[in-house]
Amino acid sequence: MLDMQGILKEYRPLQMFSVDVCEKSGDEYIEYLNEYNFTWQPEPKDGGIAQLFTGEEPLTFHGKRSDPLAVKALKAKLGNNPLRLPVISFCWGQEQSIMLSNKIADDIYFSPILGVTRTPATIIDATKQTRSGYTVFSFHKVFSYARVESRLADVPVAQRLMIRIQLTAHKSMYLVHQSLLTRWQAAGVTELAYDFDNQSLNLKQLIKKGSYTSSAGYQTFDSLADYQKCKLT
Amino acid sequence: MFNENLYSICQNDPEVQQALKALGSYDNPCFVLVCSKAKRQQLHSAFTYGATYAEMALTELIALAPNTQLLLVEGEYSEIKILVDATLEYLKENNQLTWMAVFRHNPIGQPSDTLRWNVTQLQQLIADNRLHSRIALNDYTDRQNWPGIKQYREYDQVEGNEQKRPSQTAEQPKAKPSLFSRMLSKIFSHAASTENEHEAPYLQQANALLTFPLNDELIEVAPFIYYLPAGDKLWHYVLTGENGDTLREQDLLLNLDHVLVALHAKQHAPAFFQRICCAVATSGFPEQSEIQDMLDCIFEGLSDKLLKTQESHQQKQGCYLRILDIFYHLLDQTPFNEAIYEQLVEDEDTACLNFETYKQRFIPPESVNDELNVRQEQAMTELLDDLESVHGLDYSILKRITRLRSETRNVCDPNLWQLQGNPNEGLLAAMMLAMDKHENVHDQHSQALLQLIDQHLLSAILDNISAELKPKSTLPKVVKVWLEQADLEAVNAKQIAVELSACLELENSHKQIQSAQPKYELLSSISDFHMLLATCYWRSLANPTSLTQRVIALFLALAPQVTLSNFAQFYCNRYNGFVTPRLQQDFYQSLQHYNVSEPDLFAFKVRYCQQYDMAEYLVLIAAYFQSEPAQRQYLEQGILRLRPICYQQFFADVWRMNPSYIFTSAHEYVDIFQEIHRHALRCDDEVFATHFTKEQLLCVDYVESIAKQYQLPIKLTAATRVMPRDTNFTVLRYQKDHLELLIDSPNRPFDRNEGFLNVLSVVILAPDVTDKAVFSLIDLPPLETRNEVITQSLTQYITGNITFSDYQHATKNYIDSKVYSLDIEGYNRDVGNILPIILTTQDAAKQLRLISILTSHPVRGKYVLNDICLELYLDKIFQAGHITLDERHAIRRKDLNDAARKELATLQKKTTKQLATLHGVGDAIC
Repeated sequence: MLDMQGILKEYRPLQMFSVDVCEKSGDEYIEYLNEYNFTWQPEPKDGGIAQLFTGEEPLTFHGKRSDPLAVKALKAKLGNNPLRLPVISFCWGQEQSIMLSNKIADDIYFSPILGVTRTPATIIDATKQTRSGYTVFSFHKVFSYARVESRLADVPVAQRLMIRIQLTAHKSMYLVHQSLLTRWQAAGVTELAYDFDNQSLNLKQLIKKGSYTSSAGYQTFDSLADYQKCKLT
Repeated sequence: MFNENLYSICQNDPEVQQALKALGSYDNPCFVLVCSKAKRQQLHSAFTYGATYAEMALTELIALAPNTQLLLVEGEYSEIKILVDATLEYLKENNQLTWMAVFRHNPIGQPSDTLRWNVTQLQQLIADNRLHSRIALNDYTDRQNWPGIKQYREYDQVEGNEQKRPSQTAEQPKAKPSLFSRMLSKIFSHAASTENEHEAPYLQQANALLTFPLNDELIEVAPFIYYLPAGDKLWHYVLTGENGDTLREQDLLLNLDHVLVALHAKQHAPAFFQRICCAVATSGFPEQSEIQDMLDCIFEGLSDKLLKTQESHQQKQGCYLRILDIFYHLLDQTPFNEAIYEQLVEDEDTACLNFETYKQRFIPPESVNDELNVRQEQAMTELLDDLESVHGLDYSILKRITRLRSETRNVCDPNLWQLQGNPNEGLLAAMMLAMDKHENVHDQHSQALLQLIDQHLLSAILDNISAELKPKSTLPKVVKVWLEQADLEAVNAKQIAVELSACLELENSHKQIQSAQPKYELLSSISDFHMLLATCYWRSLANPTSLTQRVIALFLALAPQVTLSNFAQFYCNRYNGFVTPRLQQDFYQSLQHYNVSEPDLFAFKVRYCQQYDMAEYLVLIAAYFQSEPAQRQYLEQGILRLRPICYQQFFADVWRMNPSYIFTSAHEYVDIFQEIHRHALRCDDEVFATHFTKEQLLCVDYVESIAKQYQLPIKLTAATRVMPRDTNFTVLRYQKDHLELLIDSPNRPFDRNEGFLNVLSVVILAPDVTDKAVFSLIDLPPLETRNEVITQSLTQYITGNITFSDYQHATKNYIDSKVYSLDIEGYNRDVGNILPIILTTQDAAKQLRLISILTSHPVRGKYVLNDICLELYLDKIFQAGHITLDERHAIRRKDLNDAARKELATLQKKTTKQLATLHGVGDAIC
């Protein structure tokens, strides 16, 4: 972040795009996919939906969206082709947990100071297919930037690639090391923003502003086929 | 008889789980567990009887075990009480031993928790009443009779303790034994469990090294600490205080931030983990910051045992502080919350550090060179946020400001505040400026604070007042000029208040009533003006200006009690009044700068002392009673500007202490009954319907709720008429395959083309109801007329000019007497309550007549009478000198001993008999 002096100057915000796939069919539009198809939650337990996971056991997740008609339409449209899933996306709630494909999760390590647990995950996707090979990172701790600078400066970069930073008493954001963002960009991860305006890179301003969103906006697709090919409008 | 596996049965019963899942986030039904020897059919009959009595609809009972059923019931406390009382009476009359446990579900909690507590409640009920049918009712909506949930949470923790027995190998979890058997095994095998626990190495160590006996809370947290990295050294440090330097030098404390508190607790100290989860009260896994926020709650028991004790005081304090050292480092050296700071530094009973030693031990050194560090900035943001709800503040806000000022003078620099031009900034500045004055500080920051306040105060005040005027009103020029011109004295504030009062918008609850103290929107609890008023007060404490003096004088004249409360709250604890006698003195001393009138000050003290200072309250009562009539009248100018609940209680208490005193507000019963009847008035359709018998009246309901069998085509007839005035209902007559339209609405007529009703509700009559019977009612009196009839009849009856029968005959169709209660939902609290009128009426016949109205419903009236008789009885024993005034206000029915209950029952019987002669045989109403 541009206004930081220590290790945090090497970090950038984690901002994710939401997906919107709306296809015209005759006079109507079918919304095949929206952001809630890729916002993950486990089965409710004791009347509540967990947002933090401990890594003690594997869990199954499904998207927040529950629309039987959309499921039917998706299945009919996709046929036997598996639905393209994001390699990185948030779990439902206050963004305490992030779902990652093992392709990218396996390369990320965390110092225990960061308080991150890893939970093996299976996804039931929007077509009700079971998809394995995912991991949920749960960030149990939130750090002030002062604490990061004082405590993590001596931790190797490879063990602090993602940090959850406190903005206000109730709001936090994720910072990702530039090297990891570069790696993801080179690997073709399209779900993230890689360019930022100066305002987004001024951490103290973000703290003072008090309101923050990790959303980078929408990626819209004119058809499901375009979405599968990742062909933006 | 109690099924030990009951909760387990519930967890596995699909019908139960379905019912729990169906509960929405606003649903708060009562869970009713019934254990009875009655057969299911008989139970069904009993509940049908109870439901009829309570006029409620019920769902089916869920059979859990041969003798145990579950029911979820929606309804208010009073309805539920009638339901279960009546159901139990039915079963008792049929000699069926029955226990009923009723637990209200709080929608902010988990249904599974409520069910578990309901099971615990039933188990306890049976255990305590093996030979008698009984009901246990736990309903948080009845705050006066709510046993609370503390005991159930404690039972949960017992369950947690039982699960703590460690299994060293990874095994499949075994089926849980029932709660009851776990509790029994805990109680009866305590000796064995104690022996097992004391074999644990950390407890052996504790017994050997501690200079005081182990307590439960230490035992609970011991494995958590012992199994941390270098846990044996940490535990030794906690027990003895030794090797603290070594721990720090080797970074053993610092590196505790490698551990996740909740996960570690779950794995090594399940009982402590349960305590964390209960304190954090989250449905999922607790986040570390949540544990940080609730640490004082998590350690409440521990701090009670280690800080609030005289025995081995220093050793215990030291032990507690060392445990905090560990958690401070576990939680990334984040400073503790306000509650822990106060506990360690400020609370007289528990303080063991001064600010400097606290800062050294529990506030991290600055690592980045900021004028305000992140935590201080956040604290400032939170302060400013909290000051916006100025109506809910208390002394703690001053403590927070003081604490921040001790950390750094920079917090007093408004240039570091991210100013947005809001009134909370001016208030904070004024409070800091007053503190500067008190501490004799005057630097560039003081100057900046002064500028910030004075720059915008007048314009903010004028803008705020102008925004809360009656529609189409403007601020009178005389008021504006008076506030603006600096050279005017604050002598005619009262006259200005009169001018302002005429144009200020009133709160809705005050628009239809006459009151000595109007309630203005400008001073409503959510109004921003409170911030400006408080700013004037604090600015004036720093250095009075003519503006602040004029504003305070004006509002002391316009709304003295609200203004005084605005100032006093900063000297008080939210629930306990003035924090210390010194602060109380400071507050009253601060008022000497303003002309607070004697009546207003007297009234303020009455209001305060009613809640917090009985001794002084008695002095005030005596001072009032012993005054000359002119002085009494003078004081009443202030007293009658209090809320009715306050002044009614005051005058009632004056009467209690001096039975010769005549209650001055006795004439208000008319206004009070108008408010009661506002809730009890029947709508046009109900009034119409009450003229028919149960057999003649098939339906009176909203159009969209009409029962399926009546959803028939509607046909006009030659006889169809139109109501002579605007109405929102239609009268129909059932004819097997269609409905005849008898009376249509003139303003919402039946749509003949679409066959569509445009009204809100319908009255559907049986086929044998004649046209004559229907049309004789077509000239239904409008609401205003009905209201007048009720008021006139009421006054005639209360003054003894007509009988109850005459009164009822005149009003029975207009009033739903089921609504009568001492606590009506939605009742306008600014009108006053009927109970003090009843209690202090010295004319026994008139008193009985007042009671007779409230108790006139054949079913609910009994419960209202019970409540009234309790109050009459308490006044009786107070007058006999058996209880103090304090006790008179505090005693509830459950506090009465057997002898008192017998006496109360006698009074109830006597009053019931007296009422029976008044009520006579009333006319039956549908």
